[in-house]
Amino acid sequence: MKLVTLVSGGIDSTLMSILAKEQKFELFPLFIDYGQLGSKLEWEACVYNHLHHKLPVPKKMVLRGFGKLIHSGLTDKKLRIKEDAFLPGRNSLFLLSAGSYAYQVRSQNIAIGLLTDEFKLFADQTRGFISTAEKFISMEMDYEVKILTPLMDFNKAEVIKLAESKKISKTYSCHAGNVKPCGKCISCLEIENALKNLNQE
Amino acid sequence: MGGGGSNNYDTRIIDRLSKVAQDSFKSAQPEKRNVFISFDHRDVGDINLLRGQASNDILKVEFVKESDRLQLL
Repeated sequence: MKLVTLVSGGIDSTLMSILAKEQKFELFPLFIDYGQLGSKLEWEACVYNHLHHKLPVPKKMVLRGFGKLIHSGLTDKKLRIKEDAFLPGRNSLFLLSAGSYAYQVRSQNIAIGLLTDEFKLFADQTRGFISTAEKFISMEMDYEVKILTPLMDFNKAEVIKLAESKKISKTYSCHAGNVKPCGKCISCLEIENALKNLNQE
Repeated sequence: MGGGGSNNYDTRIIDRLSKVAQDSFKSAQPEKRNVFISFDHRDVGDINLLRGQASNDILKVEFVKESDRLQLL
């Protein structure tokens, strides 16, 4: 079965792609450059991990105008990296883009690496949102698309555990876009907290 | 960033996590293929046969009766 995977070079989407490959899906990885500060390093990590784990090379969709006009800590250095991290429409943009790509390659499945919505920060990270997005995309294209969220029962610590068992390394997810992770953005803090919890186990 | 370290987690935990992820992929939907079948009005027996198949919920084939939607010229 065909599967469009939304990939970012981070640990979540890398793990998701490897798990999908193990399930014998024919993968169509899609990286979205929406003008995020970390896009260059994310893309490099994304390509590296796909090659390293013998996954198909991802396609890049360049939508940098989105982040140029819609400001957030993820797209604008002048804003606060953590407090202003919400980028309205980000996950909708990802899913709609993946839906269009799925239509083109005749895949009826999309996968996104969202984690448990128990500790969700934003409204577009919930099961309810995914279910609505699925209906919207299917109706919009008159083409039934299923959105898979294989990590939605996982927290970050569990992702790290499973990723280590799959020998995943050299992922990148810092929102600041620096070579050395900033340690201040939501993504860095999430990983830091998860590692702390794991060390206490 | 991410990953890192060299912890040896309990293999039972890893197996449980792998199983959870594997199960979530089961809801994937197989690709659909469309086949157009046209009948002469005299082939009512064949048409009824397909109508019977269409009412079978177990069968993984979806029937769409286009003649209800399209006006034939």
